[in-house]
Amino acid sequence: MKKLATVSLFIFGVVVTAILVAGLLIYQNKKDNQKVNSQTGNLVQNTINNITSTGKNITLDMTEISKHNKQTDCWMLINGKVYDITSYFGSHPGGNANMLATCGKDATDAYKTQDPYATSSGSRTAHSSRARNLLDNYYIGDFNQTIISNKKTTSSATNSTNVSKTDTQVAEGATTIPNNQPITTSGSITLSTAEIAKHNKQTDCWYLISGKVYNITSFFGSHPGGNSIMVSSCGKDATAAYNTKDPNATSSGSRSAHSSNAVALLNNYYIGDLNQTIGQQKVTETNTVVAPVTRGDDDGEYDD
Amino acid sequence: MLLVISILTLIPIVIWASIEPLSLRFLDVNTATTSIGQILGLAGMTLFSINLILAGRFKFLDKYFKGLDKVYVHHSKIGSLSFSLILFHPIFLVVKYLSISIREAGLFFVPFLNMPITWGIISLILMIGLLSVTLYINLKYHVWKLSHKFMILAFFFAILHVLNISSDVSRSNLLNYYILTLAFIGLAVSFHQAFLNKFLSKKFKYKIANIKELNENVAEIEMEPVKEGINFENGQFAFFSFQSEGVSSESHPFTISSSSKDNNLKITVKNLGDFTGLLKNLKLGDKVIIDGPYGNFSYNKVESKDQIWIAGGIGITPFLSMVKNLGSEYNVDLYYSVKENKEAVYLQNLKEISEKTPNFKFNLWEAKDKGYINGNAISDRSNGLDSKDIFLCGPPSFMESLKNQFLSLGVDLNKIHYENFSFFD
Repeated sequence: MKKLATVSLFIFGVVVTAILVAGLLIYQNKKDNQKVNSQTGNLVQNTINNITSTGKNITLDMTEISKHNKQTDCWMLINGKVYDITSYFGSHPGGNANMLATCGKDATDAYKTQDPYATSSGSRTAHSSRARNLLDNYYIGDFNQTIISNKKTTSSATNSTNVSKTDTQVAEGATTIPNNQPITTSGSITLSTAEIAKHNKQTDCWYLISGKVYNITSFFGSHPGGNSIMVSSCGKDATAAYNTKDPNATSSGSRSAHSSNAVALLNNYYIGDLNQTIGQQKVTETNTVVAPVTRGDDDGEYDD
Repeated sequence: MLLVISILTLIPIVIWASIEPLSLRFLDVNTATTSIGQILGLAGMTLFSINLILAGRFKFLDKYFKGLDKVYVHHSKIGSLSFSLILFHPIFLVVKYLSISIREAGLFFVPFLNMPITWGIISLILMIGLLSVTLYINLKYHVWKLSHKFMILAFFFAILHVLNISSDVSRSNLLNYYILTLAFIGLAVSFHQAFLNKFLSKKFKYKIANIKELNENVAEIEMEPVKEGINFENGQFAFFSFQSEGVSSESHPFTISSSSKDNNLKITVKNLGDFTGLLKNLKLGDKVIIDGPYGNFSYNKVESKDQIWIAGGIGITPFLSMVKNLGSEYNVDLYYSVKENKEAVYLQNLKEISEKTPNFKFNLWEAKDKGYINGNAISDRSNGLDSKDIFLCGPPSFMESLKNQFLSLGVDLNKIHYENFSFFD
């Protein structure tokens, strides 16, 4: 029995040390890279889900969501967003059953309280920011949004392990991103602050920076500083955030400005000036400039 | 008793299995490894709880395991098993994080990111530290014993981990109550054992009446009861806690070498560990608190009246007690194995008893002249071993070797009785 304990201790030591060293030390250097990649993969995944012309349109309403109510096919509505978390089963620290309970349902409260029955909200704690980042990987679309579905939507594994495979498809896939844009109005629009404010999410994100309006939606996943830092300024005047790399711009000056390379990149996303009236065409055109962006992402990496 | 422990360990796994269909539990690599990890955690936790109960010096355990020394042998085995299961618990759980990224897997082992997991990590670190001390470092008995008490702290963090982690345990009330009930019994027992035992359980007070040096390494300590004396059977042992200056009051097990008919109690102590070295600090009149008796090592508890007793060195003590009360219907051959003559304490007493008692044959075996004592030699001298009960007491390697020799000579395992002192010195 002492032998058993010794062998176990040895295996434990080797595995834990290996994972800790690999995970924390070696990956420390690649951390940003990893982040970018995983979210690029993500973006690609979203794109793939939307790319297929053979797929049919589905509306992410409650009827549709409720169809995906089992462990092998599980969708959840959380804070107005629909997630396909099927491939996350088995990875949830809180176990499968907790998640299964809200498959095909509005899981907002359950997610917030980590209690599937949300009986006593507040008594249980919210998910960590790490968990929230993970959740983004499983995003399909917004509530009541119509997306083009293919079979993959229900079962694809949407995580960073796919990155290497999908990386090469970025350029190809990204050009079709306009499919993802919920811009349906035709004709001309005025780039007022009210208009800008509408584009306030990751899947549709405009910035006002120094009096210029940028549609940076397709840049998500390519930002060396990660997505979450960008998303908070969507639909807003991001001048201060952009200049300080601090979305809350609480202490301007303490953070450094973007590199000249980054400034050059930004021009690719320029739509027009504040309060300028532009044709709808212009808005979508900018989105096709994704391919250079993806290449440029390496440059941004070194600059940062 | 081992069956009971196995069943107690299987119950939570059965409850666990009934919560969710097994097909979902083992859907793919991630769910399967997670499930195995959970089983390991549940079983490890159950065994940990049981082990704390086993360490509780209960009379009923002494009875069912046929001696408290055997309980400690099982305590040690179950502890190793439980420890191993618990070590593999996070190893299996990390697999699903590895499928996300190696970084996520690394973060899984980092404390203070997630409190429930942190409790588990703290508990595990404590366990690894304390059990490494137990398994690989030969500490002074009372230092080790003190260090081992901190296992309760490791257990406490393990309970926090179980209580706070959201998993099947927290979802199923039945599993929840089962694990926690067992855990709290374990915690209560160990807490009582470690801290409150001194005050609560029935103890006998003695004071040191005489200290006699038998040779340079061995001393006999005679104690007289302050009030009520302990009631024991010859061959049993008890835990002695010396309330003397310069001596650890941590209780130590010693076999009682006096006869149960004597009013005074005697133990024979060899200068083995550091604790026994401190015995020279004992003074006449010092208080001794005795917890006992325990043990099932007794000639009158076996079926055969024809018996062979084999003592290695200081292992003579239980036989010394037994021979003084030997009934005339018994027929006993005692082999006393020592390196050389001068090491053999009580040699004169034993020879005298043997002369007066025709049914007691005493054989001194000096390894210096005859080599190690062995099963064949004993069999020859005692005219065969058929249906005889054999009693062994001595160093662990001595007993193990003789036990195996007797087994290969065709002796039934039930006929071989031994007291496991390895735990005690």
